[in-house]
Amino acid sequence: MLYLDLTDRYDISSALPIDNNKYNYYAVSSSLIFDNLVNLPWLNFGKLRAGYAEVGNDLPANNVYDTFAVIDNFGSSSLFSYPGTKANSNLVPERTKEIEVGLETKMFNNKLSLDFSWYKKNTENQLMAVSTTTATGFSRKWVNAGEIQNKGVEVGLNYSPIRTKDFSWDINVNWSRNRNLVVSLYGETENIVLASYQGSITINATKGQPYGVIRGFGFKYDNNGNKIVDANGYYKSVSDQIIGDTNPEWNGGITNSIKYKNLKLNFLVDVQKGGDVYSLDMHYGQGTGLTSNTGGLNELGNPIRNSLADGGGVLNVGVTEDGAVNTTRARGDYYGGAFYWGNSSRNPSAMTVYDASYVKLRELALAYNMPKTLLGDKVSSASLSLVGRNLWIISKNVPYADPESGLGAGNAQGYLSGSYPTYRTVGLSLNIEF
Amino acid sequence: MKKYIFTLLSFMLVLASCEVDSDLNIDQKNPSSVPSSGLFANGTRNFFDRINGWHENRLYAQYWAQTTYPEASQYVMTGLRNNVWATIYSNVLQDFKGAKELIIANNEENATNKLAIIDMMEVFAYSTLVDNYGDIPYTEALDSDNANPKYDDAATIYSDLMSRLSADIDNLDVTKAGFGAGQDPVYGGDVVMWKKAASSLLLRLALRVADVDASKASAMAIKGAAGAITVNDENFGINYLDASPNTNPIYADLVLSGRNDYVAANTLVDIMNPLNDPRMGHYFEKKDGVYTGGEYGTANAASGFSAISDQLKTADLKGTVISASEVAFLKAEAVARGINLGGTVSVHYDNAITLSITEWGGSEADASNYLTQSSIPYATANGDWKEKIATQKWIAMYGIPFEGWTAWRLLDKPTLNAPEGMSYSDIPTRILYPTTEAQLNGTAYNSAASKIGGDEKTTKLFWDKN
Repeated sequence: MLYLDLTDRYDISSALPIDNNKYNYYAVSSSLIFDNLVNLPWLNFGKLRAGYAEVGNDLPANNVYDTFAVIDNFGSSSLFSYPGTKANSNLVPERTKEIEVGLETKMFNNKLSLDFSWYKKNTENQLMAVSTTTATGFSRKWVNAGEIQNKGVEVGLNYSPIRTKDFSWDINVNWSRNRNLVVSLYGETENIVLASYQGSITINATKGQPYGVIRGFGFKYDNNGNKIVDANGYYKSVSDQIIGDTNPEWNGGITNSIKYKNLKLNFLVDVQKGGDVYSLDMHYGQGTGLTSNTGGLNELGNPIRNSLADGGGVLNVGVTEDGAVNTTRARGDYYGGAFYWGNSSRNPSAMTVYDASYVKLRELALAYNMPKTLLGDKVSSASLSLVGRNLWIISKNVPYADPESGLGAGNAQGYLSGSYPTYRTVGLSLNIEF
Repeated sequence: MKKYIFTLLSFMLVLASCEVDSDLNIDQKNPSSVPSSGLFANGTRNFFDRINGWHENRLYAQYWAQTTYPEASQYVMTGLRNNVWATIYSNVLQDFKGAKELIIANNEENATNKLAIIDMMEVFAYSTLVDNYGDIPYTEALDSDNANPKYDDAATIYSDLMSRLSADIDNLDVTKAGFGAGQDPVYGGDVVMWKKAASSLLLRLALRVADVDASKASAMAIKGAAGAITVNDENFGINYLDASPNTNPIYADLVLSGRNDYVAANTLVDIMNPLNDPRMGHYFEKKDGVYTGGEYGTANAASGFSAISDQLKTADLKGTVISASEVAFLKAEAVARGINLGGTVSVHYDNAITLSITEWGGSEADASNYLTQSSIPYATANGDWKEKIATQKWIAMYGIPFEGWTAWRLLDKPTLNAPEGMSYSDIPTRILYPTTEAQLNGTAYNSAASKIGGDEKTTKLFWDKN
């Protein structure tokens, strides 16, 4: 069986400039169910699919024509100002072009099933209010900001090793990786700041880099990749470095469902590998000596918080400007020392960038189906279940915070500030059907 | 082979013919057109607010020291480097540009005077950018279609600014009006005063370049001095109000904030104390019966040293950016450099000190007493002309701290204090470009940084030669 879907759509948006407010877009997708064609005994179901779609998009209203801001009077003077964001009457609709192919199969008496897909999605003329140098008179401007590409694979696997009348065990694995790339930006622009945060941190779209790199003060390295330490034992910093990439290498999850008679146990383990986050909490936390790494003993066995004369301080691993191994201990006895929140000359922001990888027990559920014999005539079924979510972070590298607790919204990810602990929810539910 | 079935599941084509009205997309909650005077007044207010509110300048001049968080006094420029740039370009110059465009487009009454006043303010704003950073976007600035404006040579900009300002002075017609009294928060519409302020600014800019372009400095200084401010009532300052948000920024930051971030700095107090300076009580409060300054560049106990004076912490304290005293010091400096604008160094210098003392609330008698001490008058004070003028000008510029820091940059006196762990040569002579410039306008930034000799705090500006 071969299926073909065609759609076409034509939009007119009042949010776009009047000369460029109409756009047409379409999608083509087809699928082929092929298990009957190949006639393999172990193959219960097989489907190949492929699709191509283009989607147009507009922007929020009121961003095409400039207006002024009204400022509180200064005595008798009425005040008006330009807003920070420049509108743009030369915008065109945004367009996303996506191609996707996939394979879906069920095998070995439906014991094993596999779903695989690959996609490539290019967004062109992306509509964004980008940061501009204020030397243009504005801090942001609406533009069609070049092209972003996302490419990736998604794999889903279901396996049922045991399936008997009383006992069954199902395993579901999903895994995905996405690679994105800023292919081009508008004009001669090499970098767009998506968000800027305290700690001199920005989240950026940099041409030739993944979308969402963290920039800020970085470590200064010598030619051999050693961190350079200054005369007082502090790490030197260099401004405007790429100090992290907020995109994970891959995400995955495993769900196990085990059923024995009326009892069912379900648990989901989620994994993220890679991706960086900047922690403002550590920036100030260790800067003010709240975190435990600012206390304790140094490599000599002396308290870090002793004065340098008393053998305290921290020996930062690195080399001096002339290449010798650093032997100067940085002060640990006041806030401006080894854990200081830093500036353009020392203690770079990169000190509090962490790997956001994690392994979590995302969900655990235990359900009991009441036996028919207990229910009587009026009740057709009843079950009692205990469900817990976010029960346990099995492994992570970000200190004192859930790597997922970032400010992350929309474009800007990868920044932790005032992180709350993630809610752990436990619920008991009784389900009765009549 | 099985038979393939081709199914056309769905095929939809919708052809709509509709037009939308552009009014739907115009923000109805904010005005689409405004009076030029509203943009002028806003840009002016923002400029005066920031000149009076960048307390880092009070630190760089070493008038004040810090308490719990001494980073700014240790020359960490995190906020300042971004703020000076962003405010002046987008909150000051952009508004001025819009005001000029409206005046021309609407062919407003008294357009020549209004345009000259705005142009003078633009010159002031651009010169402030140059005096902070060095090379800056100028010819390609304020063009929202050019996201990557190049940086222009600072000396070339300065030369153009002086030419513009000179033309503005010529264009200001004192027989005609400027902006209406209500829309001019500085001089209430008095064009005579604006002409004096413009002349005073020209004198200031002329002496900035005295070491690099002596002939232009001389011509411009003579022209500026001829029409400059002479008495304190004429001081170029905004008249702050006593209610928030229109108070002096010092009041907002030191009183309304409830914080204790600053105390007197030892640098200023230790120089003023032996001189029995009558301005001391106007600058600071006594601590245990004496004036004592916290060590500059360290974290001082807020309660251990002289506090900032209550006089300075007045809500409606006038926000002066050019004073009669500064003008007199500039004249003294000009004559000392051999520029013939009339009078002797000594007369201008003594007059400058007197004007400063009376500006702060001292009497003429206080001033003449002060000048009877041999360490004060020009004839008997220590050092060469530079040291004498720089030291007294620096003391007098307490209310215009950027000029205090700049007096040190230009004339290399008085001797400041290097913060702990730093040496004298580490004291900044400029501020760093904004951190975002490298990310938003990287190519232009990099070539400017290398041209001025590195985007470093200690790179000397073009006028900072001797």
